[in-house]
Amino acid sequence: MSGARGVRVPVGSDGRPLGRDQQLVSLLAAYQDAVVRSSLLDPVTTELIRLRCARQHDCRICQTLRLADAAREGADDALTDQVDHYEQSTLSERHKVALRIVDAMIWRPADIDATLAGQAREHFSEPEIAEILVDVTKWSTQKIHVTLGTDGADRLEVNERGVSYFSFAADGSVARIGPGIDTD
Amino acid sequence: MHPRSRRDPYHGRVRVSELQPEASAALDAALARAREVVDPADLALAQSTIDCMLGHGPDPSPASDERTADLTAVVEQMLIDVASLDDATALRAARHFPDGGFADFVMASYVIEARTRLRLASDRLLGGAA
Repeated sequence: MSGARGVRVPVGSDGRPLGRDQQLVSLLAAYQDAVVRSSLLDPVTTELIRLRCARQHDCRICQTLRLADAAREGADDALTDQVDHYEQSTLSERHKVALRIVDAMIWRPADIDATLAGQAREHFSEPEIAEILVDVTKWSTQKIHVTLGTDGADRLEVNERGVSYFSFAADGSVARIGPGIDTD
Repeated sequence: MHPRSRRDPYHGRVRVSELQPEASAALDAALARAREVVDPADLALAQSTIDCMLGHGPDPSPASDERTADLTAVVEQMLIDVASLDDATALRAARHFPDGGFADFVMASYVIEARTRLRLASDRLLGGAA
């Protein structure tokens, strides 16, 4: 799937599509920054949500990245690898419920039933549920890049495990991407 | 669905907007810009496809021309499983934008999709529109 995906639009030297409306690009970035600034959820939960989106959408760059804050709080490979089969995993019930919400949002939000709604309310507050929902839409903006074929990870500097860490600035923008958790 | 959603699906009120006002306002702003830069017919096509595919809108009319069919195919695949969108389908749609507007169309479609998914999930998990 991802191995065969080509770049489908003309791109510049930075790998980004040419001719996009820059105001629309900026407003979409502002949306993502606003979502990131909301920090009711702990970084590990956020990382599991992000990676589930990345895996479902097969975004190459997103699957290569790891959230540094989450890694510092214990989101290692053994934990994050479980997102693919989370129902049979050792993840906490709270994390499993979060991932069920992710899947429902990605596939058929109209089919969310009372059972999942009850689980959501049992494990999360309403503001936290709202954050999960906007998180899914933030971490699914990658669908734009997948559609355009501009989701390649070849520009990322990765470590020996093939991953790169990223972190956010206070304004929600990406502050750093690098092969080490704490490298600047 | 909230009554206002029936009148104007671009502006359906969602409860999540009360809990995430900053993000919701930013997404609204992105949609407003999308409506300025993307052909209204293309945007309406994306909206009707999204409404139908996500399960709360009527079936759209059959594609009347190649452009409609090609753009619909991309939006549908973005909704169903973007990972399985193949190069040929994407390139067939992209050829209708010789001046580079395909990326804008894809961004606009995604903004509509995100708002729709948020509304549907918010309705079911947060009680939806009051």
